[in-house]
Amino acid sequence: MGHASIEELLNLRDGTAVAAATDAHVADCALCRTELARLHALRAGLRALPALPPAPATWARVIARVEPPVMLVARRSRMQVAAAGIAASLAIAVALGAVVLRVPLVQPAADTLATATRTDPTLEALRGRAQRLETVLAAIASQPRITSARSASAIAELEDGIALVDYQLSHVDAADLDDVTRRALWRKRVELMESLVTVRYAGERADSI
Amino acid sequence: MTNPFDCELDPGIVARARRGDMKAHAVLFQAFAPAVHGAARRLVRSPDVADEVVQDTFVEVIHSIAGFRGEAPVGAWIRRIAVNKALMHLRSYWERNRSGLPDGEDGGPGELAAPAAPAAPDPHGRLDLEIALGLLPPAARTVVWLHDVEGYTHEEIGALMGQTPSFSKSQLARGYARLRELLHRDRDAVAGKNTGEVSSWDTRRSKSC
Repeated sequence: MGHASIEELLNLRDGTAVAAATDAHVADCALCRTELARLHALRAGLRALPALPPAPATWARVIARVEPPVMLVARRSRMQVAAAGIAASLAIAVALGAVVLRVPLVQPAADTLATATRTDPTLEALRGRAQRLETVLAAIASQPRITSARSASAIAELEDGIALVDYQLSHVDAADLDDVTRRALWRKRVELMESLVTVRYAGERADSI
Repeated sequence: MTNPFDCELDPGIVARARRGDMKAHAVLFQAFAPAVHGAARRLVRSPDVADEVVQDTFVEVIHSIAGFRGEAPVGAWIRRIAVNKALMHLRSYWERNRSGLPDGEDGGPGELAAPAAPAAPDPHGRLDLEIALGLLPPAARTVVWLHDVEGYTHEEIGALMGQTPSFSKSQLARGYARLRELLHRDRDAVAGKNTGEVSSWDTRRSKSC
């Protein structure tokens, strides 16, 4: 018989059945055995080709492409972990007497954090309060000072939480978002912003002491 | 040599990634991005498209890992995604150029990249295996890589490429015949002077010993 075809040799190499006559021929034919060995060597060479690291910026591009809900859900889980840190920051703030905010956050009657978080105002009132808090935060952000890694982490988590709420408010189809849900989201946003203001003021006061 | 997709990770990393922990996803990326990029470069050749394949793969990993049940190692799961993404790019290119699945002897319209850099033969006139692989027609190169490096069966490759297992087998044979020609031409020419037969060995059955 003639030499084994390359398909037959590949079958032999890969352990796939071939005709007995082909098997016998290859066993006796130095040329076919050489070619078979060459096929083995080529496969080994291919398998030895190295992995190739991607460009350094590729991971950043992946992150940039990930849909916001995934990232925000991930951050939300981190928020739970950081809750203790946030609580600790708030406790420090209270201990330092730093909760006395110098800028009115809500209506005069609801001028403290405690009452502010318990009120259940209208959607318009919540939006107005959020707007005032934005002003407060902008003023603090103009003179950023971070007292500790724990504060920095708490601030980052609160900002993530606000971003999550913002995403929900801006991306959920308005028709699917009933008034109760929308108001709950705005209330959550205001609460997060108030906590953020508190932590930031605590940092400022701690720095000044 | 161990396939880079077979890298074993602490199961805790996968568990954290499933919960949306982006730090765990970054670890997955560090562990498997070189494998994904290496496979992509060999399949699609174009550096830009290979980078897209890496991004596409890890974006899908982030979105889909919650549904990963761990029946197979995470590397095998990522490999499946990466191969599908690479083939999607190849198919897209082939369809855009209305050339269908190329199975000709040359790269022709199926190439995503310019032809490989001019071959740099070694002092004996032989090509580097990496360069020779890049010179294969796309379909043959895809089959050679998937079968011999990534461990896909002909049935799986046929299904992935919308072809039959026989198509995969014939492309593997064609690819190896071409690799042999590219890598061993000069050596065979020398050997052929002695035997008068080696250079006629190809995908067809040649003369008897």
